[in-house]
Amino acid sequence: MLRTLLPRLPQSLSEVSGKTRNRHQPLPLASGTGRRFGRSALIALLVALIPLSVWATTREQAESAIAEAKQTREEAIAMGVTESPTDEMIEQAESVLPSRQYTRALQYAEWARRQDALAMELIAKQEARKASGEAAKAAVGTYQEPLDVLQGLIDRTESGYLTQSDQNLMMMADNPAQWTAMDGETLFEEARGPNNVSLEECDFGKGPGVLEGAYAELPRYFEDTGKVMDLETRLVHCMVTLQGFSPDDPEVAKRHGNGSDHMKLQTYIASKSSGFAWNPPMDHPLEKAMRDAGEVMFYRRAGKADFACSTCHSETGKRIRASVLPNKNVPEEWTKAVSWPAFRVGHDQVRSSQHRLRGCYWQMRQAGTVAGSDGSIAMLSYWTDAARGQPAILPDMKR
Amino acid sequence: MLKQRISATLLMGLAALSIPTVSAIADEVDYTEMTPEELAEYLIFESDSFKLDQEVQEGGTARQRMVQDKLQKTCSVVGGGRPDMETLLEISKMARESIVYPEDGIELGDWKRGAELAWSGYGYRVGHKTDDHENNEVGGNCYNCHQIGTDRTGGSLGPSLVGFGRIRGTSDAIKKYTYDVIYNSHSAFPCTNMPRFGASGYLDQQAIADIMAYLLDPESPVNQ
Repeated sequence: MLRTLLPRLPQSLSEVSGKTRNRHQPLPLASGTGRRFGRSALIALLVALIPLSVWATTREQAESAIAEAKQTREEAIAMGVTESPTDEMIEQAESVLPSRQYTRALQYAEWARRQDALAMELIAKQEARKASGEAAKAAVGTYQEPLDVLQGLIDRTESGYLTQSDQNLMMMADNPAQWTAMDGETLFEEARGPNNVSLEECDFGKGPGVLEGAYAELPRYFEDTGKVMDLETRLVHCMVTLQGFSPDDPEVAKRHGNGSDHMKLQTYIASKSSGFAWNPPMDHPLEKAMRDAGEVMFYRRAGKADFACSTCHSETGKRIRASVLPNKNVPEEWTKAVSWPAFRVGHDQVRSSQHRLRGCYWQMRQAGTVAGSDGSIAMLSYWTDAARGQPAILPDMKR
Repeated sequence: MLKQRISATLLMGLAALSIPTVSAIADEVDYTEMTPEELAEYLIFESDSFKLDQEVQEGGTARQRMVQDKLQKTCSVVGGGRPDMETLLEISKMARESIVYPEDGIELGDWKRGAELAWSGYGYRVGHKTDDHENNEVGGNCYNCHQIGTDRTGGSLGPSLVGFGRIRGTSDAIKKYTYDVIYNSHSAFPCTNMPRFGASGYLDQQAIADIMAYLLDPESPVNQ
């Protein structure tokens, strides 16, 4: 019932498109001249449109597109894009001209031009990156903001480790460790301890009170103690010998957490080496001996799970779960790995080198480390040496 | 003659005076006289650098964790790389000999528990915080290094094990192979980074059976 009220629906594609599959058969709806006229007019229009679209491209247009592609090709070659399929594409464009396939020729030429333009754009980007990387490299050895150091490293290194956290990169300008460093500056200059003196007379290796670049050259051998010392151990030494604290006083004994004097002071002292190249001296035989023993320890498998430091840190781009691991053999990414103190987002605390080392041995299911021990300093000597020449990011921010 | 005797006595006297200082120096070993290997061993065991006396979960103290067994020693190559082929074959042979099979043959356990064990990284950590196995069972840490299911993110230090059983089936040979690799993977991959979960007593038979089920059971999400 309903069906008869509705206009008849087309039953096939050919009916809709107007193509007359059964041209010689009587059309099912051929019931009036007006209707027949409309249909043939439509067909005529469609047929006319096809050549129009072909004629839309003239020979001149195709030729100028080819000329343009050729010119771009030359520019690209000048920029060093030698291996490219574009020559072939231009040849193809030219080869279809005699057969008047202008649209096709235009298209080939256009593809070739775009291909070269894209390649040139990429090269320009790469060169800009390289230039800023070179600039960053040239700036090594003077103070630089930690974010600038990191950006410079990213610009000249392909590293999934350096770039793994966009969020951290974005937050780095507001790194909470900067506040810790500021607290440290106040503490450093304040007269404290039973002797009521500041730490400004403390020698971190470059003379009393000289902090610029001092941390980048630790651990090092100190005449006055006859030992190779890292930042934490040297700081303890000064707090005890200069300021008169007892090793058990909380100022000295408490080593971890944002609130500890140690993290404040270490972060401040270290921040004065941001942008300086790691350069632990290897002049004294003890410095060399400690570094070399650290190397053996780095590769030494032991513990319940047969792990060594090298298990996780000797290949590029490998992950533990979602975290990309730094490779000890790539100094440009290893520098970030050893750039402590750093704010650890997951801990919501600023952490030290000794804290990192302790965590690694804990994860390796080996014995716990003792901060300031010769064993721990040997490890720090080795890992700092592995980042030699690369700028420190201080304070850093890590996941 | 007399003069000589006097000077000799003097020398002896001086020597006697300096004995305390000499012995103090003798107490402190000269690091620069040692090879890097000797110094590393000294630092680990003699310099109070590690908490060696701490009790560990398997009984005994952390000191024994630091002592290298033959495999650990052989597979530690300073500077990276692996030992020569002959040594690797020996390691592999030694590893095969270490494998103990369950009395009733290798059976697949409960893949659901296996999934949790494969994910868990709990167990055997000592030092500033010590894992208490009474509170939490020991996990296999599998996801640290392997992608296994597709619902969770795994590491990439080891190969992906996605679809492990779907690809390999559950024949006896595959079950034995899987058991061997979990128990002591050096049997198939000498000097691999993977821990010897059975040979070191890290995981018990039930845990191995459950993790194997997670890998091989057709019902397990790993094989969907």
